Amino acid sequence: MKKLSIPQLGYYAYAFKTVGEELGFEIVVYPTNKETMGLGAKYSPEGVCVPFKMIMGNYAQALQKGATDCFFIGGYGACRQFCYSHLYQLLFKKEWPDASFHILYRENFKKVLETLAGEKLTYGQILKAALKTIYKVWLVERIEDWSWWYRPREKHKGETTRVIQECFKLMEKGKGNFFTYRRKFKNIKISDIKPIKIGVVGEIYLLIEPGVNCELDRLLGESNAYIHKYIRFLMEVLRMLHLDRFTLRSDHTTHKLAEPYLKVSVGGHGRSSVGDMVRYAKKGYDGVVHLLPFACLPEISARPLLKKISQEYDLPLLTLSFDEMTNISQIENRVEAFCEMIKMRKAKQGFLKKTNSMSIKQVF
Amino acid sequence: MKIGIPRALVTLKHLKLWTTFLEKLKVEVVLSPVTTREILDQGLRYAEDEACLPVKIAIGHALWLKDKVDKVLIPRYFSLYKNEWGCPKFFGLPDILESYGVPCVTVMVGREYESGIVFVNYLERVLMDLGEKLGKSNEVSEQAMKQAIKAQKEHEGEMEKNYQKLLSFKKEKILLVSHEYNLYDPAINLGITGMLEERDCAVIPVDWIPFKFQPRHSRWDWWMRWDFGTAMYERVKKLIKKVEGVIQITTFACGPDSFLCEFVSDICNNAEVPYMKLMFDEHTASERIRNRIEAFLESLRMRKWK
Repeated sequence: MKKLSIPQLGYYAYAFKTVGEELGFEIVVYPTNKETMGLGAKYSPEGVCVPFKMIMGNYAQALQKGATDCFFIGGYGACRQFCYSHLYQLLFKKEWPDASFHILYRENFKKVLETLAGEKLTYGQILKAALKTIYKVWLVERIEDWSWWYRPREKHKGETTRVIQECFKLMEKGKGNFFTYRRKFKNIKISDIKPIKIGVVGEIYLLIEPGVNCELDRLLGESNAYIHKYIRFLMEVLRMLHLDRFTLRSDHTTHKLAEPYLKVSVGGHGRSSVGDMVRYAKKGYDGVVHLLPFACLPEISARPLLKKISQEYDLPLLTLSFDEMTNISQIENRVEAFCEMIKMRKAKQGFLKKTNSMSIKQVF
Repeated sequence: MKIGIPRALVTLKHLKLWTTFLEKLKVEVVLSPVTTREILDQGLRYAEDEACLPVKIAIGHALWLKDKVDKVLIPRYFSLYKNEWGCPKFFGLPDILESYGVPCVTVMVGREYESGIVFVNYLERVLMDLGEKLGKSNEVSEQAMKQAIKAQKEHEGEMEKNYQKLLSFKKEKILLVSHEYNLYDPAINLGITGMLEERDCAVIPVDWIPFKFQPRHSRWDWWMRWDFGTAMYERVKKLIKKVEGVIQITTFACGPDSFLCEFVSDICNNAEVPYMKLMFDEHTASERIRNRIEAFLESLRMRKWK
């Protein structure tokens, strides 16, 4: 049986494991951590962006664990990502000539899956595996949703984090379903705090990989912030299939919202960052956090425009740029200060509203 | 009407085209000077701190032009060849400059890849669009367009002549690999061409090598999709047997170059030609570069002597 190493997209790796189980090969799941960063930075060129280095680190770790095959998707778009797979191929020839590297395109995905499985596959099998994986991905996203809701409201700090870990341990073993996970979350005791609302925009890899973004979800949640993200894996799948027009957040509306600031695409998620920030501003969120890898081409182009939106809508903005040297305490400090600032601001605004609405008789 | 053209970024590639076209339309053209310390400082103050040096300089140029002209011409360089595209920083530059309060007039160069429209004679279409945006009649802009394209072609022919002359020299030939805006801006490359010529080398800038784009149809040999990347890769591949050394100029935090350097150095390794990568940013001192060039040339000569 072949062992396949994949880019570990945060918790989604637990869901992707299902593809291997269905089609007859093993997928190595190994959470991204400090060690991954070190290995990735060691094997990749210095100037490339953080996602490249981290995925390289994932491959290196998996190969140490005995993986034989690696794969990456061939991309399309103005972001550097379209070139990733070919640079990986070049570097693999130098570092690990024994390991075979597959590039997955729309034209050849069946061939690649057949070489991995070692037997002929029918489209029915592939479709069944894909649907099962999508169900698991949906579950992962629901777990994240609940964690965002429960974490700012929890009575005992750290309880939600514990529950999430329990859930994913069950999922890795292949046990549990929607209702077992839901029951686990319902057992968390909550207090009646009104959390602040924060939207998170930025580059997709940093949004969904807690090992690289220093567990930003946890940091924000523990400072009593309910967070929301538009860019997630299932949403991207829908966008790829052009089904996003049936959802509340279609590309068309995003582009329309971004129009006054950014008229064209800047590749990657640059345009949707701008559009989503306007959307958050219109929905009455209290603040926006923008995540980007160091020197990310699309997000660097979008950042001055986000600053402009922040001024125009009077919406606080925190931009965090990550590279392999980023430390958790550095991010923690900035996030905590940002949340405190928003709370102070809200309290002040509430006070002003109260005094304005009171009549003179009530004051004296 | 006064229109300013910044002497920075990709506009440098088609400088002759834009200036002749606007002059023939009887529009007053103000060309920003070669980058000075003042312009660089202005750019550094306004631009994003993680942006690359050429973009910072371009923002400095546009801010210098801001008070002197009615509008600044910043073309959006989407793509120069079919199914290829440029750096995303070129696409968003007009929007970024407008957020800094610079009045811009933009025109799409190539196509927007999302809409899927492909221009066949892209430069002609681009110039006609620009003429329409400036409120000129079709006949006037068509005449100006023809003269502008002729001037640009003459300029390119001159470069080719120079290239043939350079190849016949009996000196050591060094290939300088980079983008146009790094090769011709002394504020970025600190006069590296002069330094090499002082030490008795014939310097061949990579964009002097003639190149004709051939559209590719198979996915497998269609992996390099930056227009400048394709041109650079093919040109280096063409000339690698005829040169003694390759020097690549990159700037700090340049996205495409972080990938391109690896591919160019791979070609050089396969052909066994010495390769050096020089990284520049706003703090680079010319002494450091001089040292490295001397060491590189020394090692080249030692290699020959052996």
